[in-house]
Formats: sequence, structure tokens, C-alpha cells
Amino acid sequence: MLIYSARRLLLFFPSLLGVTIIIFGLVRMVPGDIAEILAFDAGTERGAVVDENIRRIRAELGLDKPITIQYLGWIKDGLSGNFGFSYWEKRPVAEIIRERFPRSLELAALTLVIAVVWAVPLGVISAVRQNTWADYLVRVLSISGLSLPLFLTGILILYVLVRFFAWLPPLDFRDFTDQPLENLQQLIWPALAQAIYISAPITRLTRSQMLDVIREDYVRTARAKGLSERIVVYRHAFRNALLPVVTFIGWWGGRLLGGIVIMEIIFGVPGMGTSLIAAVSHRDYPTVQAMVLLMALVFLLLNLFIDLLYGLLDPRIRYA
Amino acid sequence: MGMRRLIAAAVVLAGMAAGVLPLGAALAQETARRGGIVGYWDYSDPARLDWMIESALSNQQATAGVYSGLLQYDPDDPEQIVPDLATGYTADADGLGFAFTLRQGVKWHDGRPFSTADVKASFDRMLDPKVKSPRCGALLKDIVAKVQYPDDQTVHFRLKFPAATFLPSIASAWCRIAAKHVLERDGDLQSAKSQIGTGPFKFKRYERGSIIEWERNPDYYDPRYPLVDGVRQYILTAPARQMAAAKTGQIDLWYPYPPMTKTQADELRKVRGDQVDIIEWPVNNVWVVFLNTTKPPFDNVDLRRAVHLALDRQELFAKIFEGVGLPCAILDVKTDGAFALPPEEVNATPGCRRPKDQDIAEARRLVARHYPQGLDMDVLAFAYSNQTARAELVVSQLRKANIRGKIRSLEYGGAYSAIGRGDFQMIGSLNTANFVKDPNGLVSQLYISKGGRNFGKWKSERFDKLADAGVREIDTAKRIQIYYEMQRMLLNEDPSGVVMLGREYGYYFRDKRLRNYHFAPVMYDNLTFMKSWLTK
Repeated sequence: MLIYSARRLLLFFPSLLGVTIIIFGLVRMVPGDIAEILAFDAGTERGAVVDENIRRIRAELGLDKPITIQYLGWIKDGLSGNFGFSYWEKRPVAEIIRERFPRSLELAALTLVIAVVWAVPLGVISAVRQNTWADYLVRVLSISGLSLPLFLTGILILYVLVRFFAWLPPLDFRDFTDQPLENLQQLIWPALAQAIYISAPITRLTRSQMLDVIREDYVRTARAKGLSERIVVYRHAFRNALLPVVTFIGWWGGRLLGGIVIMEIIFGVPGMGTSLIAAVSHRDYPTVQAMVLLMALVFLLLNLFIDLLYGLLDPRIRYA
Repeated sequence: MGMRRLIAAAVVLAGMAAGVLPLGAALAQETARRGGIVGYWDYSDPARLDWMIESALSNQQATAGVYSGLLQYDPDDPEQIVPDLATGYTADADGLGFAFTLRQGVKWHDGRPFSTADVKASFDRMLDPKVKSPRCGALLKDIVAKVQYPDDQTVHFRLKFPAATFLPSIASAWCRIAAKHVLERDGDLQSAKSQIGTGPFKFKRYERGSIIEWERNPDYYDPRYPLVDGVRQYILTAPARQMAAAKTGQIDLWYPYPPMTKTQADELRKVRGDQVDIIEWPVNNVWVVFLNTTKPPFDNVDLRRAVHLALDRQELFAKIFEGVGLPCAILDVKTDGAFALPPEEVNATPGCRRPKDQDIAEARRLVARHYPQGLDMDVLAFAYSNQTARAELVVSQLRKANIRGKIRSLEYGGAYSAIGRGDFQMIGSLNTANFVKDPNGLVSQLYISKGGRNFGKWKSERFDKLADAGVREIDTAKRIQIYYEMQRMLLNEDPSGVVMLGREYGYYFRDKRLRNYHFAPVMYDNLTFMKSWLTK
């Protein structure tokens, strides 16, 4: 187990290095840079639209240096915790991330909690009552959840709140540490909309895993021993069916961090997704790089955690 | 404006400043109530807050009530210029100078006294050739020869030539005064902590992506104002959330951009028709197609003219704006007054008249003269808002004239980058806002050869001369004729690198409990809420 964990940990660092190279290269492959955007977007001053302006801005921002120098500088600064200065917002990127990351994390966590609490039991019920009305209902619900575009679910929730309750959560976003009740009022709806979407595959995966497991010999043996159906399902079948489901939930957890942009926009949540979209649009390299790196880091850590958990849960899993 | 009228205006301004003349009509009819918080919304986060060197509407929305200028557009009647930090002004006898008398006893929000040094620091920065000041700097740099401070109560602007655009520029929301000590301390006005003004409201807090909040300035130089305790601007980027906030009464005002569509206005009328006033109002925004005049095919006036003739503006406005707006108009009677060509003349010109058959035939003839097999071209479209859909409509109309466009849709950064490099033949659809209450505002941005948004780099010596004359002429009647000539030239001869589709209008609402708020001809010029009040 120790060797497995050490090997897995050693793989983590080359992965992270690879991610930094990909992020750094990709954002620069997109046409246009911040200097051009700053020069042309607000270029209403006469004569402002000149190449000289662009050259000056590039020099100010260090974009005129060779790309390897820029990359090494970024890595060096990053190692000392300095993520740079946002070209667009003109403030430290660390400040932006400190502001936005906890909100996205909270929204992702809330989404996962709602999705898991709802989807996993539904998947189990659907499997143990296969081909009954309960199974059909759950399957219809999960297909519907998957079929509805996310933005439509969000807008429908807004519509229901306005049309039937003439109520909306407060517009002024409050952090959980500041006003927990208001914060939950604001986050519960985007979390619910997103949860409806991701609960569908979780339900379907739980169902199919459960169907596989309850046909296994050891489950039949457990039944033959005279154990109650509840113990057979929850103690023997469910725990074994859960492993791929946990992996899937972990994968979604990482994805959710940056993937709730639409919900953030519709419900006015100032999270990392909206900030990242704006940064990409404005070619704000330091912000994009730091945010994507952070997401990648969370994703890698989650994967690492799951891999280590696998090793712990299933001793058969080992690197050759 | 003749010299006598200028002096008369100065006397009126001085009288109003001294409180001799009556305040707004609304206050006379109804007793204003103090207290309450006005809620409205902002379409986006202002990336940075330094209004001296930025140009976004969101920037102006965030800071308008925090600062004062020498003059301002009257919140009671946003068509009129009234005093602000200056109690009045006098014009030099030769019309080449204006002396502003500064109000005494004004304090910055941090308690420090306001002085001529602040005015100097502000104009020194905005007029500095090395500082890109896309609004105030753009308005004044070509006009102002020097600014002098003869004593501690007077600021004297000496102009390079008599300029009709000077006073509207000084009164513009973009030419306000910042504190010298803040500029020295922070170097700029980008951050929230730098927002120290002399305006009716103090900058209270800014939570990015969520809210910008002002609170009443108890030391405002006019103790009668402001009447409300504060203003909250919510950052609402999703149209669905904006409408939901309007329907549930979370906001008191829908202004200034984007406006509601007709359908949205009808929806709101059904839900809250008894609680809100909904009006159709100019957005002070033009919808245009840009043509790159530096390379084929649009370096040829025939092809520019063919595009102008082929486009059916009425149909475009019907499809995109549900028929609301002024198709084909370059200047708008409602916002530019007498400077705008009469709509009946505009609508009778080739390209704007209906039916379109004759103009499309002429467009086909012009295309065939240079491209017998028809013209194939690249059309750049912005992949935000509905600009790509708009560009597609434009392209579909041009097919009738045998002009076949292929859309290249790029997001914000990529599109501006392509524009900057001149990497386009046509930009299928884009909007440009006018930022000062003067016809020169739009002309100087879009059409003159050095115009910052003359993306097509059109250059016409004749037009430049006319535009220059339009700035220099102070006789209003003569000035009107100059602007008429410019519009006629664009409509009848060469549409330039900017084919005008028309002026955008839209719907706005004001909650009936919000009193004495008036929509302005220029969207930037009445966002202070200084004289507005709430009934409950």
C-alpha cells in the first residue's frame, strides 16, 4: 500500500507540470491579446488606435518577452504564491481567487450534496424494484434531467419562483460567513438546477451498478443465509456498487468548480466561473492561468484522493 | 450659440446657483420625501473604476453620483446645463475663453477641502497627451489650448478656436473633478478606496459580480440633496434575472442599457402595469455595419454604396427590435435636436426609401460593374449578445445584391484583435454609443479619419473639413447646416466605412414610487440620483 501511494504521489507532480505547460500554451494560442483589446475596445480618443499603443501595453505587461521567459517567470512567481496581477481588473489575481473560489466551492458542494442525497437512493430503489412502476418513474425522471438543457432548468426555476411565489432570493450576494441564511437562499436554487442535471447520470450509474452487484454470487449467498433484504441490499450490495459511483461523484466535484458558469450568470452568483469567462474573453492571462491551474489542481487532488481511497477500499488494486 | 446667448446662459446659471430661480417643477408640485434606497442594475461589472481613463457605461454607472463636475446636466431637465462645482462662468469677449468661478466651502468625502488644485490635477491628467483619456480627453484635447488658474476661485480655459462643443463637454459626466490628494496617493482611480468625490453620494462598497452601493453624503455642498439615503446597483448579467428582478419589484428603475424589448415591456406591463411607468426611449446608440476601406472590395466607393443601397433597414429593425427605433437615421431628432436631418428627408433617400426594388437593382448594377460574377467576402461577427444573428440578417439581405458574405464569428477578444489588425472586410453588426450631448460626439468617433471607432479607416478630406467646421462654428443655425451636409453626404454619396443601419430605441421603466428621475438624451448624463426621491 505504501509503495502504491508513493508511486501515485510521484505521478501527481509530472501531471501538474504538464497542466501548467498546457494552460500556458493554450491561452496564448487563442488569437488576440490583452494589449489589442485594451487599445481597441475603448479606443475613442482620436489617434489612439495605433500600433505604438499596443507595443507600449505589451511592454508594460511583459508580453513582449520570449514565451519561455514568460513561462519560467510565471512558475517562479507561482511557487512563491504570487499569481500575478490581473491585466483587466488591475488587482492581484490572488485577491480575485480569494473572493471567488470559496463561493464556487460552496456552490459545488451544495450541488453535490443535493444530487447525491437524491440520486443515489433513487438509483438503489430503481435497481431493487427493477421493472416496476417505481423503476419506470425513476428512469423517466433521470432521462428528463439529462435531456433538459441546464440553462433552461435555471430559467424554469426562476420562472416558478416569480410566477407562483412572486419571490426571488436577495440580489445582493452574501457570503456564508457573513449572512448564512441569505447565502443559502441565494445558492440553493442554482445548486438545485445543477443537481437536477447531474443527479440523472448518478442515478443511472447507481442503478446499473446495483443491478450488476445484486446478481453476484455473494449476494445470493447472503440471501441464502437468511439475512433480511435490507441488510442484503445496504450492507452487501450497496457498498460494493458504490465504488464507481464515488469515482463519478468525485469527477463531477472537480468539474463543478468551473462548470457552473451558466448557473452563476442566471442566478447572479459572483463565483469563479463568471470571472474565468470574463478573463478568457479579455485575454487576461494571469487570471485565466491561475484559475485554470487551481481547478486542475483540485481535479488532480480529487483524483489522487480517489485513487488512494481505491487502494484502501479494494486491496486488489495495485500498480504492477 | 451666439456670444449674447452664452452670456445670458451664464447669468441664468449663476442665478440658479445662488438659489434665486426655482428648483425642479416636480419638487414644486409634490413635497419631496427624504430617505429610502434606490435599487437599479448594471449590465456588467466595471472592470476598473477610473472614469478618467475608461469608457464603459458600467464605469460611469458605478461612479456617477460620487463625483461632481464644474457643470452638469440638470437632473430636473437633463437637456439643460446647470452649475455644479462652478457657480457660473463667463465667456471671454473673443469667444476663445471661459472663466469658471469655483464654489467655496465644498469638501471631499474624506473631509479635505476642495480647491483649484483639484481642478488642475484633474484636467492636467485628462489633457495629458501621454494619458489615454477616451472620453473627456477625447472631447477636450483638440479644443483646449491651456488651462489657467488666476486665483484660488477661478479656472480659466483658453481654447484653440471657438468651439460649440466645449460647454457640453465640460458638463459631460466624463469630465468630473477628482481629488488631487487621492490621485497623488493612489496614482489613479481604479480601486474602490480611491472613490473619494464631492458628489451627493459616498462610495460605500463594491462586491464584484454582485453590488455597487452608494450612501448619502451628509456634507454635500447643497444641503437639500441628495434626498434618498443611498443607491444600490446590482450586477445582473443574465436577461432572465434582470426581468425577474423587474417583475418582483427588486429594482426601481430599468435604465440605461440594454433596454427592454417590446415583448419584455408588454410582459412587465401585465405583471406590474399599475406600479411602473414604461416608456419608449432612445438608447443613444447607433447600429452599424463597418466596411474596411483600406482594402478591396470596400476601398471602392461603388461597393460601399452597393451595401448601403441593398440593406433594408426597416426590415432589419422589424426583425431585431420588433419595429422599434429609427431605421437609417444618423442623428436623432430626439437626442440631437435640430442637428438631425428631418426623418422624412432621410426616409426618402436611396437606400432608405421603400420599396427597395429600385435600390437593390442599382446595388446589383454597382456590384456587377466590378464583380460580374458577384462579390464573395468575409464578414466578421461578434459572438456576443445577438450580434452574430444580426450579422446573419445583414448577410442574407446583401445576397439580393449579389454580395455573398461568409460569417466569421469571433468572441470579444478575438474580434477586437481582428479589428485592430484590420483583418476584416466587413463587420456585420456592431453598436456604438454617443457619449456627449452634441452631434460631434458620434461624428468624431465614427467618421473622421482619426476617429477612435472609425474601424474601417475611411478617410475623406471633405468630411474631415466639415467635421472640423462643425466643431468650430458657434452659430447654431450655420452649425445645423454643416451637420445636414455631413448627413446628406453619407446618405447620398459615400456611406463611408460605417454603413448606418439606424438609431436604437427600447423600453425602460421607472417604479412609480421613484420620483423626479428623468431619462436623459445621453445615457451617461443623469445617473447621479441627486434630486430623485422615493414615496415610501
